[in-house]
Amino acid sequence: MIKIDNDRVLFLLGKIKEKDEEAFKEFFYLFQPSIFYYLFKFVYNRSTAEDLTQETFIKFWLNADRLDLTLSGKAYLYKIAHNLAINYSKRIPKDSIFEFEENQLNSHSGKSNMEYVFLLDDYQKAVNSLPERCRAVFTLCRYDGFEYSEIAEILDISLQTVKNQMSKALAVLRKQLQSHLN
Amino acid sequence: MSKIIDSHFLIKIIKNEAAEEDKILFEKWLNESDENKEEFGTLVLLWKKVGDSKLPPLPDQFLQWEKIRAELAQNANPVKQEESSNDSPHLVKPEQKHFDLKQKEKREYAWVLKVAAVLIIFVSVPFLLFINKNQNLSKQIKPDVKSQSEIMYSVEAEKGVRKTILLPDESLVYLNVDSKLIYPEKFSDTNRIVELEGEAYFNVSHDASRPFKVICGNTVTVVKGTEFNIKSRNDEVEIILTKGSVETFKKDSNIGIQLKKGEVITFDERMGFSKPIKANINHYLAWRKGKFSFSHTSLENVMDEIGRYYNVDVVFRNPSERSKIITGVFDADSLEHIFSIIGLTLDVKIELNGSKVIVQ
Repeated sequence: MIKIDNDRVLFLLGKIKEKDEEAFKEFFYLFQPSIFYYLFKFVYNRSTAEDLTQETFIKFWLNADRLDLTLSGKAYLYKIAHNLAINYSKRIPKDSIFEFEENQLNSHSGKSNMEYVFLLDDYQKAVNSLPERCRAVFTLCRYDGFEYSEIAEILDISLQTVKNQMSKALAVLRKQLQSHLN
Repeated sequence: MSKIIDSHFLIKIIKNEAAEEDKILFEKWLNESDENKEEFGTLVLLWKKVGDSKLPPLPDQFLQWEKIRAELAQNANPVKQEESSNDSPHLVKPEQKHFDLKQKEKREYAWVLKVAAVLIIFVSVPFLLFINKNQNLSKQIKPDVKSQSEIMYSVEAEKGVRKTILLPDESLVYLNVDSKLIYPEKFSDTNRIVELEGEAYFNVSHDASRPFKVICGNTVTVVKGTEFNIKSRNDEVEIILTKGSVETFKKDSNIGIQLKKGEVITFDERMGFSKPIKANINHYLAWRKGKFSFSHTSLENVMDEIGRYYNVDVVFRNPSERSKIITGVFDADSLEHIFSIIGLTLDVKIELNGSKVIVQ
């Protein structure tokens, strides 16, 4: 997880609201890694995650004038990303989402010569096996540093649901990874 | 009053989000029993291992940002476009236009264009150049679905305007002021051909099976995937390579010159190609950073460059001033500042009068 200076983010968000492109660029550079990895945990395909990352930031920019600075801008960004991921996985049959294969390392070119296979380890597989909402809660808490109240805001669920899903996630992970945890 | 020590509580401890009093409470709890220690140990291990798991490499941030930029430019409100292009001859700083840049200007008079497209792509000499190498000649001329699309786009960055173009193969082209790029709606399966007038920086997506060809002036530059700058002004073409490798040809010749990273080559109508030489990339790419970089440049060329950037006409009152020489790097955002420095250095007076610059 990358440490991000919250005051700086707040400053950038103010500028982005005024459609300052330089600020948006910095904001993108700060959050691109975490948004990409968040999306990756739902679509498990590098180029899809890359496309959705782009879409997330574009949506964020296009709605920037409606940005409410009292809410966390970071949470809003994740909210967009999450909705895109969910919409994507609704469109795609479940089996094909779980293709842990990646053909495009150099993804800006359509026909890269470099072939590359990405394999998940047992830990990622376990996280991956969690039901969607449960995975979202766990991921936001574990990888993206959100507190429960922020997670509730991003996923539009109650604080109690966040807690329940988190307990469930921990129980499932513990069970699945038992052999690794002794 | 005892707080419940559950996994949520412990996670707060692990994430270092717990309040001081909770930390004290936690220490007490931890020391109560070995069972507690074990439970916490397992949770920490789980937390750590899950976090350490391998993730794929990140997409290139720079490239992705450029794609976002290009897409937002495409989404830009067309009404805004009208306004900005009808601007009075006041100074326009190209960098400020960013997302308002118009991307594609699809021309309506389709068949004139089709003829033009055929002329550009098939009749131009570079095509003949590659006939020998390419057995699929007939395939290219037939209106095959797989051949290069007949719909051509022509994107022009007027004086004072810069544009970013995302090509159909996801290559990016940064068009400098007063420049024009012609490219097809779709590239063929064997070739990617574009034509440039003026100056542009190319970031070509890698595709070994379809060489990317830039026709500029009397030159053809062939690449597979790389970054380079091409500039043609006043019958001179200048190619500088920043990444990868390119080969450049005179239009009617099939002897190419290979450029290496960091080298520049110039082509002159009379003299032909220069030898490739190692170059200061910053100098040639200053325009991408909103700077002018001049190295032993005549005042005439300097003013020409500035005139394109700010969309102003330059008038020399005394022709002998034209050949004075300047070296230096200037920020492109302050015209007055540039003029005052040049003025002091060369002992000339440069004045802005409406959309005219007068040198005396």
